[in-house]
Amino acid sequence: MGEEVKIKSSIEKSTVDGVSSLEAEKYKYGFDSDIEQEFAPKGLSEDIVKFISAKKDEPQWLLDWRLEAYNRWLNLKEPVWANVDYPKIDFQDAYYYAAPKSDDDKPKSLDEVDPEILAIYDKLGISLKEQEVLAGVKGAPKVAVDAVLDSVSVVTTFKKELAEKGIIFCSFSEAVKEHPELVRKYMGTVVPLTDNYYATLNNAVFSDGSFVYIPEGVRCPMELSTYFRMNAQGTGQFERTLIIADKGSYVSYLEGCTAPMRDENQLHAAIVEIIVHDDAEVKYSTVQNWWPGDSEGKGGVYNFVTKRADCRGENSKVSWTQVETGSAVTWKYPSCILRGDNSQGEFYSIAITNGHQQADTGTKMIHLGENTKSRIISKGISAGKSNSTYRGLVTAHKKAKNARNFTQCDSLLIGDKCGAHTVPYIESDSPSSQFEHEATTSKLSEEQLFYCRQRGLNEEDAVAMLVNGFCREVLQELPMEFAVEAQKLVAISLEGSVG
Amino acid sequence: MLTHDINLFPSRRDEKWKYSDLRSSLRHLSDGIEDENKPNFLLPDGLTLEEVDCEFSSVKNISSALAENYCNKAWKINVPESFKSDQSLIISNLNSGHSRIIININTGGCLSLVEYYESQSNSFINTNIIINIMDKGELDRVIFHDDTQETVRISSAIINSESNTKITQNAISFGSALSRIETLLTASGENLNATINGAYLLSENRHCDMTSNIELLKPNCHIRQLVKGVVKDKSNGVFQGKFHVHRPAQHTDAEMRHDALMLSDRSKIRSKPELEIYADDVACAHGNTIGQLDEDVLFYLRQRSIPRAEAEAMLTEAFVSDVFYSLKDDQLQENILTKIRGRL
Repeated sequence: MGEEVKIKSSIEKSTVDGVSSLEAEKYKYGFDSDIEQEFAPKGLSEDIVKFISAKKDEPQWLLDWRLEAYNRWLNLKEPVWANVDYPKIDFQDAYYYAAPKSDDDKPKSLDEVDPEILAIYDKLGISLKEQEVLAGVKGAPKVAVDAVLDSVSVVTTFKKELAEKGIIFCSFSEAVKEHPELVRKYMGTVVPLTDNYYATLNNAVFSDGSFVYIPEGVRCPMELSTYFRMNAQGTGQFERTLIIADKGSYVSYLEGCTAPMRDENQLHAAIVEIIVHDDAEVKYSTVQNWWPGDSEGKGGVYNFVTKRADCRGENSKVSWTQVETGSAVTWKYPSCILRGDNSQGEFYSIAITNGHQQADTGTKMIHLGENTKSRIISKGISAGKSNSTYRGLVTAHKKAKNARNFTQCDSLLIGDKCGAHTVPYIESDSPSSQFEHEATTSKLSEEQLFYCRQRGLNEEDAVAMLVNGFCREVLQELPMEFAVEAQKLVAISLEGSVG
Repeated sequence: MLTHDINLFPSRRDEKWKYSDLRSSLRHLSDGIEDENKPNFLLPDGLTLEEVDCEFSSVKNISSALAENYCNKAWKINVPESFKSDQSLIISNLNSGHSRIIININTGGCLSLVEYYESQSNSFINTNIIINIMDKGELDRVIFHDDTQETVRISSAIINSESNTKITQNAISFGSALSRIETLLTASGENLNATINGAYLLSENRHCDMTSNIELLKPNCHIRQLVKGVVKDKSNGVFQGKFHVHRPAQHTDAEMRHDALMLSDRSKIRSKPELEIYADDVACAHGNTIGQLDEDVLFYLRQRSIPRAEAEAMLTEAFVSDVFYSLKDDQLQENILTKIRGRL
């Protein structure tokens, strides 16, 4: 903790210099010279971009990167093709540099936190201390959840172990300072500067994120998790993650957590880039449970994320597993570019929507190399008044000889006010490729429900049980630690959807 | 209002025309874009044909908009109540300009309809057929597309069906520079039983697009769709299918399938089988496969001294003709199979 504070004050010192170096006229836009201020004023302009960069004491090349992204973003149009409907976002009405709520606004104790959220914490079996951090209670430790979980020792022991193996696992800002050569080499090579509207916005204003580098031949001895990382808090809104797996390495990365995070940010536009070299393997698991809005459909998080993995090397492998239960609007397509020969991509997804949630999610499998394989298993569950869409692309380039894809997307409807949609795109330019796609949409079997009820389960438990069975193929892909919680989460997300 | 300003035509930037770039095809060929066409009708006894004013239709697409813009007259056929006939209504000479045809099948009427699209000239052709099927009506529709390689063709059918109707559609296409068979079916009544089949067999630089959109508004509809395609040389096959099951359409049973065979290195397949479902008590499925002939089976045939080309033709024929086995009219079925064999 002590060290933490020191780093912080040193950043602020340099920020002072950075900000004062801005020309005097810039101040007319509203932020006064109070450098201690932790956030930029509302709105988005070139000055805000400069402010963020200065605040983070970034090198010139990164500022140039941000500014170019910003200028290109101004000319881009918001995409409207997704099957989601939400009020137009006023980009000038948002804060772009971490605007943590002042302590006075935070709940003073757990008593002031929405009891509904607390009930969910209880069901997930989260300790009281941890609950305080998740709910953002005043006075709760500033560091991420890890320290609370099992004291600082966990952090230090595992940091040491990783360092011994040569693994770099730190925040993105730290990586920019400590390993600029790696960041410059790989950043933006998977998701280009102007890939899409939200990714470009992220490039201009990203706050922080994670950086992972696994050296050649190293098998990462533990699951890396944002959940276990220092400084993870408050970086959520415009996060960016860069994972590089060098030749023959392996890493499993976990993102998010099962507990519903209380979050003030409406818009989340993150970027995840993964680079996989020869014979390396990356497994990326996400459990997303942001605030989905109230029962009227008001509020909730907009989750517009760009995730892409580039299998550059031969025999490389990427596996995406996601459990999406939160957010009011989800717009997310974790993709695999299968460039190296014999590379493999996998996508396992559960998307559960309830209440007024909307999810438009899926994947892209882009087969470029020979003998590339991909597998897509997507399970969509819609309940309440929600809509969930699977939108996926499988494409094979001319040179992708013997490309192989198997896609299965199943949707389940619970109740007659929701919708489940499937929009697959299949494009093949390679005659030796084999693509199979199947999709089904159905409701829970009355007979199975009846069978469970007969054996004394109430309706809600029976539904949860059957849905868990429906998702099993995906749940079993999750790392052990997550799988158990995710199962409970599936049950909880469906509460109130029957009867 | 549409004019012949080509920039107003849909291009690959329009989601519905993503894989069939009409605008760029028309840049190469826009002959006949302002012409009106007079089709030939061979009417079974008991049917009448009238010439009526071309009115605006409720379903808007590029085909109907063009027809409304360039056709002064529409051709209207009335199928009387409880009509039955062994003869088919045959429409041909759909080989230039724009035509609009309206067919009303009254209560309990059964119509067998055969459409021949066999253009010999290089021009843009748009056929817009509106079919209304009343209670207990039946439609059996067969579509032949056999154009020259340069033709740019859209043939669009807007079908509206009321309760207890039955629809069977079989389409065969050999493609052209751009060729699209569009079927927009709206089931506004209960108990529709529909089979929408198609096959395309493409070679050279040909393109064929089979697009369908089926809107189900009421309960108990049963839909089966099977489209099979074979692409050779530098040809380009497109399948876009959509089932839109509206909230009241409970107990829908719908299945969509597209299987494609790629027989050359430079051929392409684009497929988009889509489901949009708002009713919970339904069974909907779609399947899509893209692949090539089974090497083991080819080997088996060659072992039996059948030359490779012949063996491929045999297997391809078996693959495609599958679609047409359900055809009731044996003569028609034989005609289609002969045409397919001719192409292999």
